Amino acid sequence: MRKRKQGLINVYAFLITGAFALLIGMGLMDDGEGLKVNSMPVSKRVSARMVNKSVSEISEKVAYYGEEGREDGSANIVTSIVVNYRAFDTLGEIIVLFASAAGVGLLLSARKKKNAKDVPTEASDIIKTAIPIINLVVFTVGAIIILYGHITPGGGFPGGAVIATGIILMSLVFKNIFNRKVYLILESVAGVGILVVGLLGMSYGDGFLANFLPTGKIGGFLSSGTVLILYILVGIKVAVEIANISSYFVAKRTKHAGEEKI
Amino acid sequence: MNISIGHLLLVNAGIIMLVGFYGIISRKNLVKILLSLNILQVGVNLLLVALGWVENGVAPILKEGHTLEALQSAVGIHFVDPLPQALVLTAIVIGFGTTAVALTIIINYHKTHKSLKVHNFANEMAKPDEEEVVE
Repeated sequence: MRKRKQGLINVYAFLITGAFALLIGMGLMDDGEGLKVNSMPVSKRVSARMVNKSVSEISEKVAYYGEEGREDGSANIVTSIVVNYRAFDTLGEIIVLFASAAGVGLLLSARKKKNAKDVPTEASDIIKTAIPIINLVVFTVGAIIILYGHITPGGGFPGGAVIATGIILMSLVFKNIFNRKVYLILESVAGVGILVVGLLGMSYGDGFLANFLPTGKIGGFLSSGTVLILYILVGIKVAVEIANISSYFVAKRTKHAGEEKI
Repeated sequence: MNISIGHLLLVNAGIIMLVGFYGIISRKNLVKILLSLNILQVGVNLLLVALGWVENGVAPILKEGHTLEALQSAVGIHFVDPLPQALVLTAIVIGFGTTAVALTIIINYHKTHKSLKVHNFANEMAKPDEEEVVE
């Protein structure tokens, strides 16, 4: 029986990582012209069609701010890719989030009560006064990031994460802030809403999750058809799911010290 | 060999990935291994976004200041490739989901083995607070 020597293991791991880096470096500098980067010009990639907003019909018209009547009306090109041209991948990502929330709920549901003498029962004065003021800013910024996802950078996913951060901050101050039944109802309604929008696209438009509402001026608030509706539903779903996952990890504050239900 | 910003971004992403890889193979605490896995995911996301770099490119958002002539001319405004950025949005969320489930597995591991070290896995002779016992 011998002891583990952490120093030797560190050196061996460093050598293995160095060998890995050398292998990759040699492979990248193969043709003698320096590091190989992506050398296909942008005008020949698929992204050029998405930047010019001409995926359904081939045309060379450039999209600019204030134009009307294109096939997709968001000023943020990444939003138009995530919610309009590749909306099916976003649906798959939402399914992955739902699976991870279900997995956490399933694996952590049966836990015994344990005696916790060192969990503080009341928040300090700084937290009690500062967090409600900070949360005004946090919730407003989160809502703006979700609602203006097609004009400024952002969208449903970062906005939902910001709102979930606000809910977790509130759980540091108040006692029973995580309400799992409300989260379950909100998440189910948002998920079914996304599927309903997709099926409406199939009956009124080209296919599943197609953009069947009229697109307006690029840069206006009510432009871009179903992108706003889908991103609001995605934002609600992401916020509620992250809050649900966190409710299994955050210990609740109790009134008396001693017994704590996790 | 010209060193441009595109090369620097790729090398940075590679260094972050190597740091995460080193952490995974050399740590014995489960939470530290999970943190190194997260660092590796950050490096991979950066690599994907850096592959879409275009010389003198701007962020792919149509703004009010862009004139039609500047967008159409060959030396005007070029947008950075937006497709890898849309795919990385998905990858970030999936990284979050993986971390959540991995944390619950660590919690259950601690309940059964009473320790957070990797060597206590299927090793009945190792006590929870001792160094590694190798036969």
